[in-house]
Amino acid sequence: MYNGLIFEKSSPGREGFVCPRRDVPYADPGEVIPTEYLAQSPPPLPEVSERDLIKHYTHLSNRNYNVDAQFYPLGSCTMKYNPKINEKISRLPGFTNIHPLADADEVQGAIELLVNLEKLLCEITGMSAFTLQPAAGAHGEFTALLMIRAYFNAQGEPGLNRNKILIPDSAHGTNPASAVMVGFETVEIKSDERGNVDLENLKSHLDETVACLMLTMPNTLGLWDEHLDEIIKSVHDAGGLVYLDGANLNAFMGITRPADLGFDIMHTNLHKTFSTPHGGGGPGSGPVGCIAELVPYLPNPRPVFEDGKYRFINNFKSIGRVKSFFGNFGVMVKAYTYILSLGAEGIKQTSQMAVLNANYMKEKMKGTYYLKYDRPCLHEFVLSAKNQKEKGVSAKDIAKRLLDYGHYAPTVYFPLIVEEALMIEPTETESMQTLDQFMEDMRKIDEEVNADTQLVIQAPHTTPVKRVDETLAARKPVLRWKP
Amino acid sequence: MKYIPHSGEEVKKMLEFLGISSVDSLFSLIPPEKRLMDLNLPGPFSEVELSQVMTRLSRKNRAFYDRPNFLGAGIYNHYSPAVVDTVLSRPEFYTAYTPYQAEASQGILQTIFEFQTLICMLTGMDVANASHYDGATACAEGVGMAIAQSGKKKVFYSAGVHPQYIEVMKTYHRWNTRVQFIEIPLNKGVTCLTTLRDKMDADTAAVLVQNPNCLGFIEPVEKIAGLKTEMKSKGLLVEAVNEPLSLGLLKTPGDCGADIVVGEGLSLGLPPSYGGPGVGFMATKDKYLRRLPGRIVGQTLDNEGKTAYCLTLQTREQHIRREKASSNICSNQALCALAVTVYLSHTGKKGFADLARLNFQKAFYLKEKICQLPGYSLFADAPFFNEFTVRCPADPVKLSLYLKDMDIIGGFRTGIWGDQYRDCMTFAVTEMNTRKQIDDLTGYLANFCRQEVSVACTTD
Repeated sequence: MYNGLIFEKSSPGREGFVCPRRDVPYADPGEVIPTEYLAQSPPPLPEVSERDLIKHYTHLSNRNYNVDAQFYPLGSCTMKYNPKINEKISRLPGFTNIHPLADADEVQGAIELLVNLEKLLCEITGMSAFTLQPAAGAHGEFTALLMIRAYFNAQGEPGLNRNKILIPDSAHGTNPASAVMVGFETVEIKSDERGNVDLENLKSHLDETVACLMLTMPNTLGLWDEHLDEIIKSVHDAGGLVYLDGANLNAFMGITRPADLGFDIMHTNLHKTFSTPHGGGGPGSGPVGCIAELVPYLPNPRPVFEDGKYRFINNFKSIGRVKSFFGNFGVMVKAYTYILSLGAEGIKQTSQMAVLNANYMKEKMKGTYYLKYDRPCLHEFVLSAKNQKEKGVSAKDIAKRLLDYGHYAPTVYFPLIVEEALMIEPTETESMQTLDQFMEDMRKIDEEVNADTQLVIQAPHTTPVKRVDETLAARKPVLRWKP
Repeated sequence: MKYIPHSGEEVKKMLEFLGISSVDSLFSLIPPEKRLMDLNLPGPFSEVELSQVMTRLSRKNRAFYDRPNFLGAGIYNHYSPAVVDTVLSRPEFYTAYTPYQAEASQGILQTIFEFQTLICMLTGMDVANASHYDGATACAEGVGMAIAQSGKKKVFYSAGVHPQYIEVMKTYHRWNTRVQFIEIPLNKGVTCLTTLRDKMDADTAAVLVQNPNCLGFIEPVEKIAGLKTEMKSKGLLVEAVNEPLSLGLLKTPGDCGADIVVGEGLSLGLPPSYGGPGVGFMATKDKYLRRLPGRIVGQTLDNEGKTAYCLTLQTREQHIRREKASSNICSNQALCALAVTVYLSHTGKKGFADLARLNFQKAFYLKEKICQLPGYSLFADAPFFNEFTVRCPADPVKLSLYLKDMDIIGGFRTGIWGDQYRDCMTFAVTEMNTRKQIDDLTGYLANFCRQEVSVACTTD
């Protein structure tokens, strides 16, 4: 049940925290700092006891689904299990209690970790170098597009005209949003009837104004493009670069490498593929890797190992900094730990089992739910609730009903090219039993659609709150508590 | 294999169901010549080995432990109460996904709503978003917001803004040819009002100031905001908060007249962690709400009329608006925002103000002691919070090394930020520094002066 906000548990004069004793002489801020700079009263923060505080947040935590307790078949998000050793290692004082402006000789271990993690990512993707600065996938896209801009501008006149970014209609919404932030124009490329990039449509846009094609591979349908070679070659022939939105790297690690396929630049998400937790929305980490030609444009500073020492260097061609200090270091510690724990064979098996799980589910579910693109998928697949929709039940309703069965919901209404989309990504960390149970529950929901439509439309019934009124929230925004 | 639950028997069953003999055939679209033989990676390590390897690596860093630390310059070493990590360690929070499915995410949604409220309380603003990557990116996007809102092109930024924030801001807006960045120099340690008044005109999109500034000094934010009215400028005042704990003592940016407030929240409960993850915050006035980038949580009702929370105003965002979105951002630092939420609720109204005052008093004590030493002087006679910059009698690089020999992490060598600071060191003092540490430090500073410039120091 709803227990109110922390502010509503506040009582004037109650203290949960004791400030350390003042061991220096008293100095009155009012006598040293001009009154005009001083607050007349302190911020009206809540006044709660430690006991009530812990009760409040423990209670709130119980009003939340999470990977440790539920199956998250969340397409394009790779919600795999978050190994506990990662958390333990990331809390070692040698990693948490270090200052980013400390002299390099004080933090050799930290820089070594940055250099080594970069090396591992290079080996997995075939890229020449990575920056670890970006804090998220979208931040990585933005970084890569800044680099692409700088790369073409450095070429002078012809390069300056390359102002177009081609983006398939199945792409993540961040792709066009990132491109616009760098001042590019975006052009949407159609998909063909087999879920590939429509080659003719692509080629009709390829000219000397194209900077880059942003491609998600496997695409957001979970499908490997049947003409990938030709797509990449065509863009290269037109003088453009090909960017890999690496959100789906979990599909082919150890099987093939983006650089070997011809991709020039990419991002990857440590909080997806490399098992670091999502934290309810962050912190994440979205490193950007690139081929040798683009390396000079990577953000400054870059960690290196030279003359037996770890240190940082700057490149004058660099796009500059995209984040303060060196990125989300704590997240990197976890991803590094994960890669070491798996090794080469484990990394490969990760992708193999992720793909096996997805195909197993796709084949078992496609009778009950419509499958628009019926061919082998990689790590995820997209079903449609269009048959159920005819009976008055939407993909959203099915997603909400799944919550009642104790599963998190799939990604819905994405990609935009599948109506009533239910995008499912099981990941490799889920067992056959978990998958079978989920599919059994999806089958039951389909039965409910026929037998008791209202039961599904009114779902969820067992969650801490019932269907939330999002329209009301947007129409009359209440964005903070007020006394 | 670790983290993969499939038994050989199960894999066989699944393959049989699919009517294939090996997993390889699922990758048939990848041409054989593009297939890998083997990756060259270290490992696999067992958990025991991993623990040893990683602990060894962590020990190659000289962590603070008990060593006195006076280094700040954007990342401050504060105490994080035990309750913070207790809450953060709950898998219900740290393994959760972005709360798109509101019914299954009420916990995280409510904590973000509380975070938004707390940031409004600290900054004196009307609305705050769910958080940003860090202070620097929040600052860059805040400036972008001001440019979009005003439709103007000149961005005046104070030379007292953290140089990394300036760098990130310039990177973010590098290809926006309509934007023009103009630096306003410091005068006596703070933004030069006369220069700003002379340069500001009708084409002003934003004035960016940091408080306390990167030298630690308190800026005349209210006077800067006053210039906007005086100049009848449509530009917005963006204030970056270097050290949010200062808001336990100083007037809120809202009261000073700021339009957009951004900052780094790492001080509020998070360890320095080599600079990240921290958490950027961003707050503004109601009238600029639609320009605010990033996620926002709103309070609403469920269909039974019970209080509920959800992500809202998503029509600003990329997954709906794609190329027309107010930003490409689609995550926040939710877990770090939770740390800030727990920290501020725990320290509370009195504790937070007490802590801010204590930080000031300890810093003031150090300043008083340093200024009595021959050879050292305050960079400018300006008020400060818990950090300040002094001129040193000899090369600060040497001073750093000398202090390191004495097992003290000295202040920041301000000269890294520009030649005008080549003889300077910026000292940060927090509740973690004891009187003894401060006394030891000043003793060593005196010794250093005697060693390096014996004449100057003895005759002074």
